[in-house]
Amino acid sequence: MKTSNLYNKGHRWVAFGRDDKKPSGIIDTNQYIVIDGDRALLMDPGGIEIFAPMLAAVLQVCRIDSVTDLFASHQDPDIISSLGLWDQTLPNARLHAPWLWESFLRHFGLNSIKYLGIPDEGSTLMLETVELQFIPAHYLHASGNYHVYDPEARILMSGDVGAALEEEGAPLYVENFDEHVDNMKLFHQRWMPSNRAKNNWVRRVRELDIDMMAPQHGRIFRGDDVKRFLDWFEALEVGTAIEKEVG
Amino acid sequence: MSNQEIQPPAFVTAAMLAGHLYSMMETAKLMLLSACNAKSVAARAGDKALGFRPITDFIADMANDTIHYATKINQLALVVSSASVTSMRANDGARRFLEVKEQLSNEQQIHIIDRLITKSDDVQIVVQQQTKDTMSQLCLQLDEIHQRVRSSIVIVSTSRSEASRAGEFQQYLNSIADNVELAVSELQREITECRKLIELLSFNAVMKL
Repeated sequence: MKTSNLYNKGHRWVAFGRDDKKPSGIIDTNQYIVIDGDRALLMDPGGIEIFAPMLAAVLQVCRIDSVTDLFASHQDPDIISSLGLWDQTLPNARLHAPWLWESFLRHFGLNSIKYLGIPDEGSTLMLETVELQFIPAHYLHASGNYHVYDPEARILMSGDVGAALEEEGAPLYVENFDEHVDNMKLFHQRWMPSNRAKNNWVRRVRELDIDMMAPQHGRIFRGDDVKRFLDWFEALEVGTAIEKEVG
Repeated sequence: MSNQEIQPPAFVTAAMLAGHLYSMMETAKLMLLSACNAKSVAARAGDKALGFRPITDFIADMANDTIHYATKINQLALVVSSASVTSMRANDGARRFLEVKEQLSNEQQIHIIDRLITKSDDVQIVVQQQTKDTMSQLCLQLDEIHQRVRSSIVIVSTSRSEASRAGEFQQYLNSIADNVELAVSELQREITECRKLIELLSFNAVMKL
């Protein structure tokens, strides 16, 4: 599991992913952690198959007892099917996840970690010095879905928005946006069901000050590529399977 | 509450071990940097630092060896952590199959479930044996690092003695010796932590057998 620093000024953002020992046939995922003093938020910690390398990678960047909070953007297995193991690893932690999915996520095994449901309108989480925002991203793609925004680091963890389907070992950052579009198009058209939800999200995200947009699959967008992505996504028709079926 | 109850699961202990090994690799990289600095100072000092040159080679070799062995142990620790997760999932599966068996009365169905329980038990036996083998490899590799760290303690004191003969370069060479000493002490601390975790993992493995 590769570990990459995204930001380190007072508090720290670290990305994990590109695990070359990952079992074949499972989608590659990016995991993120914000470390702020003795507290840390681990975001979309991943599936059960990558749990062991993921835990080892987390312990390279912080102590186990400093991981006080977990975040699950939605209920998918690649996001949080490792929950039952994290529950044994971090019994005193809290899980911030959509209120909508609580009774579903408990199927992964949740005995010790405290589930804090995020309301539809979003909420905030104060670590030691940094306040993170849980930004609603409903229907992108899950019906209860959130992204994490850090106004100080100007990083948006954008879940499945901005995701790409690529070959193993792709670079961590988008290097040529136009070339990268081919890797993203199908994912967004097929996994994102609602043009209305998409445009509402684009309008709200344009108001945020973002230096880096970090999706759960694929590559991270930096600088002007964030705006390029928003323009591209706004113009894209999504929910295409229905159109195909109707003909 | 007994000691065993408050211990973290084996996969957490193994991951913590991997974390300490990562710190050791980072320390060894700094040590390598100190060795490079020492080489350049020794080159500038010429004859005044003649005795320091072989020391710098030793420090560089020691740092490279530490990185090599720590990388290997790190991989082994990940194997142990993954095996512990597999073992726990198999154990959980066996427990649930037993619950199913208790609710059945049909012999044929019970037989099917028994086969699944046996399969889960077999997975655990294989994993435990694999863990035991990996743990002994891991101990051997850690011993290799420890041996080198012990030699480095002698090298630090030799460095200081050589530095005192280096005239105007004494300050630089002493500062390099300080860095190496700090790194050696950090490596010793990490080795102690690793040994504690290995002991805990071995204890868990014995308890399972």
